[in-house]
Amino acid sequence: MNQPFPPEFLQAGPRAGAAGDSTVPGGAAGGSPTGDAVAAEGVQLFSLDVNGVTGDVTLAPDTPLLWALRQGMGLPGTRFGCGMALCGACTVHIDGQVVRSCVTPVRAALGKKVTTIEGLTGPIGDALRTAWMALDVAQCGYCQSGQLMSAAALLATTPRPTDDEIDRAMDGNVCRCGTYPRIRAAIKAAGAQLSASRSGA
Amino acid sequence: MKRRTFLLAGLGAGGALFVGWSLTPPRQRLYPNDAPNPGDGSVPLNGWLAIGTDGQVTIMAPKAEMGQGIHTALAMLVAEELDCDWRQVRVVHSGIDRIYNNIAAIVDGLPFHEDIQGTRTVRAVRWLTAKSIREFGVMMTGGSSSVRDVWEVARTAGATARAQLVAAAAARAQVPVSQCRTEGGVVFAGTQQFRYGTLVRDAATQRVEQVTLRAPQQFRIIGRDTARLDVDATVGGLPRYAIDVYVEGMLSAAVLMAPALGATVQRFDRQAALARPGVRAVVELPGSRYGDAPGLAIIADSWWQAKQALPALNAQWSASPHASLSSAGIAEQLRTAAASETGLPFRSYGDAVETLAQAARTIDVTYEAPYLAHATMEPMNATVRVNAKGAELWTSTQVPGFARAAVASVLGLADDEVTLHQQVLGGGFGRRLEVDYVAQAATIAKALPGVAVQTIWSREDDMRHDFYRPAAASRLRAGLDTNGRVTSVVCHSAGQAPFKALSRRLGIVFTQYGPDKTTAEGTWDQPYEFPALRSAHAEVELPVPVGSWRSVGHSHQGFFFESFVDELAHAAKADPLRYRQELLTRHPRARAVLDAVATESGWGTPLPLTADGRPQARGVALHWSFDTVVAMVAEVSMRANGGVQVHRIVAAVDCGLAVNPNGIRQQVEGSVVYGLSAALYGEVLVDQGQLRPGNFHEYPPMRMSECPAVNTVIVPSSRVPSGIGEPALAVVAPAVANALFALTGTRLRALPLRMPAVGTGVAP
Repeated sequence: MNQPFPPEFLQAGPRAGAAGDSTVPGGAAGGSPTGDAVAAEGVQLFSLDVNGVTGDVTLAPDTPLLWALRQGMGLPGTRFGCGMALCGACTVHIDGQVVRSCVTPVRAALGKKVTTIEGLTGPIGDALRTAWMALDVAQCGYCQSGQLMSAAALLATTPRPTDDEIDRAMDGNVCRCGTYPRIRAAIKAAGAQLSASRSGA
Repeated sequence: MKRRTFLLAGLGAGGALFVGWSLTPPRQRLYPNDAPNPGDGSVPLNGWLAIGTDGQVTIMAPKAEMGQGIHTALAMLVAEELDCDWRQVRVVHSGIDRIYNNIAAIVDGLPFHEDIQGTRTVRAVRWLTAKSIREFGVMMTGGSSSVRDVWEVARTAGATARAQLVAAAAARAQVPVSQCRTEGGVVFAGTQQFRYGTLVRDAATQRVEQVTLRAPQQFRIIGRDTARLDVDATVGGLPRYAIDVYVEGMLSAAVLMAPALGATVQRFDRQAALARPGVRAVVELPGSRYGDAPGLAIIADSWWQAKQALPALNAQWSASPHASLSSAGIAEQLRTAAASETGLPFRSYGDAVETLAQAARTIDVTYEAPYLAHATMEPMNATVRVNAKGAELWTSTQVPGFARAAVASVLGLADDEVTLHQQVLGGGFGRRLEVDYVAQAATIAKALPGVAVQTIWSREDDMRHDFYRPAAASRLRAGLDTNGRVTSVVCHSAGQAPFKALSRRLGIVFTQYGPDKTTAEGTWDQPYEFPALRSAHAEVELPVPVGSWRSVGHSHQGFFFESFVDELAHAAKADPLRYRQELLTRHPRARAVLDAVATESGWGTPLPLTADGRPQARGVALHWSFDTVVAMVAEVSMRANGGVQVHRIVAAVDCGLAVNPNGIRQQVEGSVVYGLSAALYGEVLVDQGQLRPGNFHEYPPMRMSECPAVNTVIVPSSRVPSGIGEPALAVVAPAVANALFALTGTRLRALPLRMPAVGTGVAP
């Protein structure tokens, strides 16, 4: 896998829980990676495919994927904003589809491929990051992981999106700093660059 | 006895010391008490920069990065004089020291009208205030003050370091300093070259007396569009916010705060909560002077477990002492106060009241604005670990000294026994000028000494436990002569005093009493040349917590005043832009900004119908705040469903010398979106003592599909840089409201802007 960012952010690993506690996630002290083994205090061991790496995480079975990623697997790039699928800061892909991980139970990701901002690679991710940097999109940056994940899913199905298509794909992602005009321009620039490199290939 | 000696004798020893002190020059801002430690072996040359032996330049920023781009702008100022390689520059947050105290925010916040800034008395007061703040002020990022505050010192820091590097190279090459020059992180000394990294250890021992800063025509970095230094971390999703902090063995806490103002916990089931999975502790929260509400907290292995266990507490609350408080009642109270004549005058000239009474015609209208929440994207959070010898704090704050003091106060420690690890802010907008969430996190972590506990608020916690932009009402009256020309303007506003409230919580003594300028700013301080003006504000005490919301008083007073000026233009049967121009004959700076927006927006030319055949109209607004002038034109139409559609915003700004034009445009775009969210939807309702909005569906922010195109013109200026993070916000609502009037003939005098009737509107 192409890893433009430090590998520790792409790998699952222990995150929450006190050292030495039996509930430390990722401790792999027992249980099968099926999601069925019940560990102490109502937590279970889950095996998730995140960014092409399979990692174990021990947590309460009703835990949203967001918190499994952030506190269970050491992937804090997916961010908490509202907990009600209203702001899009927590956007990830499951099998390429946009989901709001704050309302998606971790069970829903079992046996599927989860992609987070840390694992957003390939031509679309590269084109988006290039455009984001060239147009200096971000301000505080907190919502931008979610913005990029929504934009990537849009470009995967709609390489040259219209304004209306951008509105529909991006309306679930709130930015309080007001980067919308630049996000719109960057999506168009990334789409144009992808199309140019495809036709040139 | 000479007169001066006599005066000193009269003042007594203390007074003499004060006068003596006040005559000495202000102390330096280059060198902190403790040498900074960037932590990577770099050698600090002063409190603002360090250089590694590999040539990496680390700039220490006392200003919090919250999206406003100050770290990039600050680095540009230092690098301009340091002559380093821009690709080797990085920025970290500095420690806490008096050299970093924010002087500009206080000095420029003094209540002097622009017209008298040059007088000797005002200059003396500003000088003495600056000197005092250097000693007794605070580190603070806010008030759109950052670039101005570091404008001199950051460049001086770069120039001084460069001079030290040159001196070190000259000594090594045994040539005079006059035969040395610098470029891209290299000193060329005679025929030899030395990279900064190889010189820095020698440079640190060099003493430099005076440096000369570059003149603007020599700038190579300042004034160029510069991309932000942190953009790669953002697009990579790297951990950088306080909520991303992970400390070995860290636990998480969720909170349950009083659901109504003034309510306290009466009973709760501790054992039931402790029996829930992952729960480690239940903590009672008494609330503190910093404004954190009383309630309960649960510490658990994960935040989800803590959050899920909160209902098990089955908390029973006392009745709110403010159970009869509602938005309608507050609005009535504010209108009544605005209609009274009891306010504190901020500016009064030309016998405004008397002139009004004698006018041929008068206009008498009342404007209103609701409470607003900040709703930063990153909810409030802080991580605290209580150690044997003190405590550590990981959070993001606009006031690092107060954040540290809040932890110390809760834990009974001295300030310097608390170590702050400042993180990047996932939005600030004034919310993180408060330290309630920090004090609360310390209260919670105190329950488990030795363990780092991260307290994270839910969005509902964040919305319902904010320090809101005050609700306000303003009665605006004008006297007109028989030709409709204005003879007198009288504004009388009413509302809570946000900076006074903040000062009480933080313990800033000198702003707890007397007038709170933020209540009335945006009225008395405007550049219009009315023949007579009286601007007063009645402070109203209400139990709703209020604080600084991006642009503070200007956020609503700008709407009131600039809508009212539009009404005056209409009464005079004048074009609203032309009308404003004629009131600015002695204010060329504001006039130039207005002229620029007129040209750029095509003011006076017909607007085409929208793609689906609806008419559009333009509105204009002009405002002076944070020593910056902004003019804005909004192009709007009405949707078939009665909603307001804003198609394009054209802004012209004079914020002094433009350090990073790209950053200025970003801040204007951001102010437009933040301002439109407030103008079109923003409203925090109070209902039976409860703050109502829970999440983004009840406090809607602007989204992509509603966002207009934004076109920003930067008016060239050689003035010292002034604010840009907030000034463009004040003109957004009035520009839109004035455009709606031009479109429909309906004057909206309350925020958020809601058209009373459905229709696409026809120009009157």
